[in-house]
Amino acid sequence: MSTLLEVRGLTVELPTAAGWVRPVNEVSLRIGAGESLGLVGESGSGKTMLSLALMGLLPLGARVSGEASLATKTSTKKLTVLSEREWRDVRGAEIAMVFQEPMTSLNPVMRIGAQVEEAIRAHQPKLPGNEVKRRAIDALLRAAVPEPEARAEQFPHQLSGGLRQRAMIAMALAAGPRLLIADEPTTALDVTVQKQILDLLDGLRRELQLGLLFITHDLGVVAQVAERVAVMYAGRIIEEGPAREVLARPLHPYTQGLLKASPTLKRGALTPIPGTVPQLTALPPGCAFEPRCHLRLAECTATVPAFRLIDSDHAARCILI
Amino acid sequence: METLLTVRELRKTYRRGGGVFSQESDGARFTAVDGVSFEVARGETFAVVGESGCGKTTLARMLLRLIEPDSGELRFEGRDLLALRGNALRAERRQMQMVFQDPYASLNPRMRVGEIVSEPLAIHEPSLSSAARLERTTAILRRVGLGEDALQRYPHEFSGGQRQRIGIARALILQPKLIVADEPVSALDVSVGAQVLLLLQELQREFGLTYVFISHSLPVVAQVATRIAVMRAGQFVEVGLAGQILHHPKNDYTRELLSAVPELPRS
Repeated sequence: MSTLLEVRGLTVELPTAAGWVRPVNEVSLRIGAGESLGLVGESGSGKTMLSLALMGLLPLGARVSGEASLATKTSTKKLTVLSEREWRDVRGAEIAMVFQEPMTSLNPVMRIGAQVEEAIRAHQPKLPGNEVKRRAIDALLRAAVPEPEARAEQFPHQLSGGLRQRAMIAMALAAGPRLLIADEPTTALDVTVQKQILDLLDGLRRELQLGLLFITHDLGVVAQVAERVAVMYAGRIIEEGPAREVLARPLHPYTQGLLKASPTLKRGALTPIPGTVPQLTALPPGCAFEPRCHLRLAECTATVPAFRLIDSDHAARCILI
Repeated sequence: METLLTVRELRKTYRRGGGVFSQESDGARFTAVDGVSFEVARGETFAVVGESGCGKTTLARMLLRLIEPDSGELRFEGRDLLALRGNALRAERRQMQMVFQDPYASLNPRMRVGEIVSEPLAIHEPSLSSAARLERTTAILRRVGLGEDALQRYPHEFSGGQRQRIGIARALILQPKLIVADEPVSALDVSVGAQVLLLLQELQREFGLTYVFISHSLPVVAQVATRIAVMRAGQFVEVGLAGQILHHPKNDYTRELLSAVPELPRS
């Protein structure tokens, strides 16, 4: 499997009233063509900031260090050093993103078809009008929008939540990117619709050999869409491995706790994690999970644990393993 | 089992569109709740589960008369709630309180937590001395896991989970018999949501509370429900004991909802 995205020691720092904070802290990950990586974390874990960094959409004043390289159709691009002009050839054409709330990310006063056409024209301004239209309908069709010609003439508010998310996926894929970042794409949807969208993304990944970075707080969703999973806590990846392996035999106490705190259809086994996610302005020394961890030792406050490989491809950041 | 709440043929319709710019003809109506009947026994958790737009929130609000039903019957301990007005309604309402979904939107950002939690006392027990009011407020805050220092602070200083605890404290301070909880954990992170679910269960045992628990999530409902009603398009399509609905569903829609739940592999 050829590597599409390789991130090494990526750190994002943001200025706040209380000084610089690091929502993304020395993150490394790799996504191959046709591979799906689930990125799991609760609010404040840094998962959204990481995806914005990969899209070149960080807020002004953000400081970035480390490396993120993307294999494009023609060359390898260093994402952390691209200028805004260079980003225009990458964003949409090489990496695209689907957001959580399709209603707020679509233009409410523009027809669906026109919005997809806009995404195509942005990268191929010389394409004749009827060809742009044809490709837009194709894109909607690929995202399994029923009656794409009729839907293209409608406005976002006339579509259901599920159809809006399909339209968003059509737009994201319109310019033929090889890597898709999906940030909680089904969180605002009903479970029955969620299942359809997850099946759609999975199908597109196989068919187009898309690399998929799937961001979610829901471990059940990860189990369904991701081959590999990375768990983020307070800006760092604290566990990574094959999804099946991580969910069945989690190594890090946080991953274990998250699984025990996730409601399932079986009653009774729910165990919450005490406390709350730490503020980035007041991170504990050493392991960030230490104050909430029931297995903590005195050494846990000394240094940030190294990422330790257990099997050939399952690693975690905990001194107990 | 003693019946606490009786609901008969409750119905609510809204006018569809009908705004100044609407092109739709007047009089077109949309039925949010379409003749729902059920009884809630004292001490149980009656869960209503359904997808967005099924009418579950309208139903929840009608139970407390925050939304007026068009027709139907609503009895609390046998008393006809829909016939009550003014002081009599207010007296009944203190027995039934609501916990809302969004702890960011349901707390007044300009009020201190002490004022937010004690406000129901000021309304329903105005003769209470300020010392007694403070004592009750501190006690209930402590019970939901918040210290005395919370009294003087504002909602924005708290995390989502802590805010939901504040909302629960406010709902409990009048020692109500019935709590209607509308998606109480769906805005919270997984690890914190589990804390709040367990807190609600502890409080139920301790104070003998009865819950009507509204949620879109079958896994969440599975943790707390005595009985589950599955709602679709304003009607209950199936009602039964939690174990029966979750493991031996009879209705096709219930089966569809269950099969759409993403499952975790367990070791």
